[in-house]
Amino acid sequence: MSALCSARAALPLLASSALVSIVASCAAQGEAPLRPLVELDGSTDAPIVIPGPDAAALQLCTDGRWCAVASPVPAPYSFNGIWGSGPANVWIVGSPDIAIHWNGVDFSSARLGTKQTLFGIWGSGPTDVWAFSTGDVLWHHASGDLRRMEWMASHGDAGGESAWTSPVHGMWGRGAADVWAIGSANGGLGQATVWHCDGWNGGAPGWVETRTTPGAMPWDSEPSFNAIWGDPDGEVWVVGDGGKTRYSSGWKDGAATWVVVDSGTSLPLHALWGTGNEIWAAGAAGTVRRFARQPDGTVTTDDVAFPNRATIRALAGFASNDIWAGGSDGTLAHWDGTAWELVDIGVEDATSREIFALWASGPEDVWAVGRNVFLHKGSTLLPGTATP
Amino acid sequence: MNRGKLAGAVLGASLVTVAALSACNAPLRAGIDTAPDGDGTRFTSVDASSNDASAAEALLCIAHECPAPFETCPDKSGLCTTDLSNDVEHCGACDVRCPAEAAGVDAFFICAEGRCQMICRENAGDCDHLVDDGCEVALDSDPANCGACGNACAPGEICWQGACGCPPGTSVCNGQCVRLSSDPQNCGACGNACDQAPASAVTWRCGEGVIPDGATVSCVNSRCQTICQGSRSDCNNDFCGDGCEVSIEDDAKNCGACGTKCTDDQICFDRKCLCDPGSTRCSFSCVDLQSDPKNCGACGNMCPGPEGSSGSAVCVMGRCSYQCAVGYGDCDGRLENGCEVDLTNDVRNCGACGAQCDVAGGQPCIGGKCLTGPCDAGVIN
Repeated sequence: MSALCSARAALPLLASSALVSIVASCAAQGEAPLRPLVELDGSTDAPIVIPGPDAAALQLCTDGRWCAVASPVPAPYSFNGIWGSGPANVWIVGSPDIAIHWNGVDFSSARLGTKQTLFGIWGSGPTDVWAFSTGDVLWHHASGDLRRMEWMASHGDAGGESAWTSPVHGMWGRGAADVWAIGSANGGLGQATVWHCDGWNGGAPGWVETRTTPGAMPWDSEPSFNAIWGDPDGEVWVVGDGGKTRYSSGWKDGAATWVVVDSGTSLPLHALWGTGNEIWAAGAAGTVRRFARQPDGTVTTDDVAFPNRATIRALAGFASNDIWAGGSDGTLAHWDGTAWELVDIGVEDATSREIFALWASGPEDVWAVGRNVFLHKGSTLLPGTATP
Repeated sequence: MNRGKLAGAVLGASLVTVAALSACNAPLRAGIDTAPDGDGTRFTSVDASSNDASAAEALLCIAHECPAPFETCPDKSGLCTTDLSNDVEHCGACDVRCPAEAAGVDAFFICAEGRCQMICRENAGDCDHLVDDGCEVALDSDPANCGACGNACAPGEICWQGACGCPPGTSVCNGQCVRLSSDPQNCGACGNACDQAPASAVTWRCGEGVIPDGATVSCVNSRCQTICQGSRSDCNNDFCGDGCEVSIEDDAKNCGACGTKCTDDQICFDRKCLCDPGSTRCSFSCVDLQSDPKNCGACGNMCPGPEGSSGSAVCVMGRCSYQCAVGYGDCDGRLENGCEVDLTNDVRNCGACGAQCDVAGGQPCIGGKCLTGPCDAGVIN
């Protein structure tokens, strides 16, 4: 019951009254408050399998190049998020409610039974995968059976009066019991935009809000955050609108303490990635910032030149000299430790396309997805992979 | 090269560009805060900068004179940023202002082809051709100018909604066309109001003076009688029992009409079942979550950004974005000020963000192109 109470009090972006009522009523009945939305093997509810083109033959991308992957759903599409636990377990979500899974051999795809946009996806491992939305819905995949695209949801009545809530923009966690979510303030007075929970908890995550602005009054608006990233030690960074940048040493004793970092920009920041003592942030108008932790505990900020003024939506990398960035106008760029270099994504009307998310298991397995963008770089055999 | 011909060609090209910009509302690009370096925002081929100009047009030099109808007026920043052909503040010349909208004259003024022109509001006419009294005639009711100036109705005939005489099935009552068969204020005859009619003149379906629940006395077939009022209906045919027991306004089992049932996942609102498959109900509206900027991706998720003639928030495949109108660019990447640059006349963003004219040399941007002209003595290429 404590989890329920904390959910009710602490997560405006998720805790619609409908969500609370579902959890409450099910708890009273002693039942799980969830229902399976999609199962591809049809053992429960009728699956909503997306009809797609016939599976394309597996092909090998030319070494060192980015290649177009044959999408299991027809264009136009908007793939908004990607995450995987490894090369043979990769999830992609998109609009309106597309979920795609790559198991290392072939794709499976389905609709999650809602018309809401799936904004992104994150997991702590194969049996703890979260998909989040612009609305009041969270989906969770926990079976670990990669042949069954089974998702559980906790949500309000779609379209009902209780359905209004803020979007979730990002999630990250150090493990299944240390999970963060960020979102939009959406103009609400005193509304928090960063939350933490200790896990899915059977569909009733015990979300607890945390204020990131030291000294702010309870009624002050928090910044809208667009990206979250953390290191294995639990240090968490968030960036958002107005160039707002914060970091915390992690969730300790039921709370987090935040340090404000001057990003040197008031433009919105949309992407984060870090390695070692370097944390990279990027956003509108080709803005790139490199934050560096100093031995004395301070953080320095570098303005790193980017070759165009695209809105950068995603960052992913492996080392301080091997980072990828993707964004608007078909922008894909690589940092080699010295400079950002644009990469031709090799598609027609590239400027009308936009990369929303990047994910990689290693330098030879890098994915870039977005609006009519589905690219891969590396040695993996993939359907329809072709060198542009 | 003949300077006049070349200047004419340049001007012609500029005018064509301007005309195309005015006529077309095709999106310049999508993408929130995209700002960019020429590639995403270009809408004409750009010969910005003196170097570009000299390379692309070997015989053209930087020009400074504003080509008609453009002019540099004192109250507007930038060079040649006023179009004298259509600017009501500078119509035909700088500071020649068209009259402001005047109350009571049913008219407003535009600037067209460099001249102030009075435009009458709907159903108003300027029949005496005098600007002073504006559009002095009500064309929808003036028998001497019915529907158009000079169109007089026959003697004694009224002008009703811009046409002489009453429409078929209606009659004149106190200067208005009414339908005597169903008008509760003129039921069967002018002035015969059902709510004031004597009991003996009313058809009482359930006994004299008995008005069942949800019913009223109104006009049917030119007689006052008890019937269901407004959205109430007698769906079980027991008028004298439970009266008009249903509101077809919001009854999911009788939505819009008796017996019209909504599906389990629909509601009845405003006599319609909401929503059809393919759309999503957000409160009492049916929307497409993939394209509705007020419900983008989810009900209530309103896309941010200023609304105006230079740009607007859009929802693209369930994600919020911001779209500049043709001729405008978001050159600073800031959503809060939208598409802040007029690419048609900004010398620092001429035709595309970052495409700069020779600012120091006073080169204006006309129609999204840095102005050039024929080379002659005294002008350095």
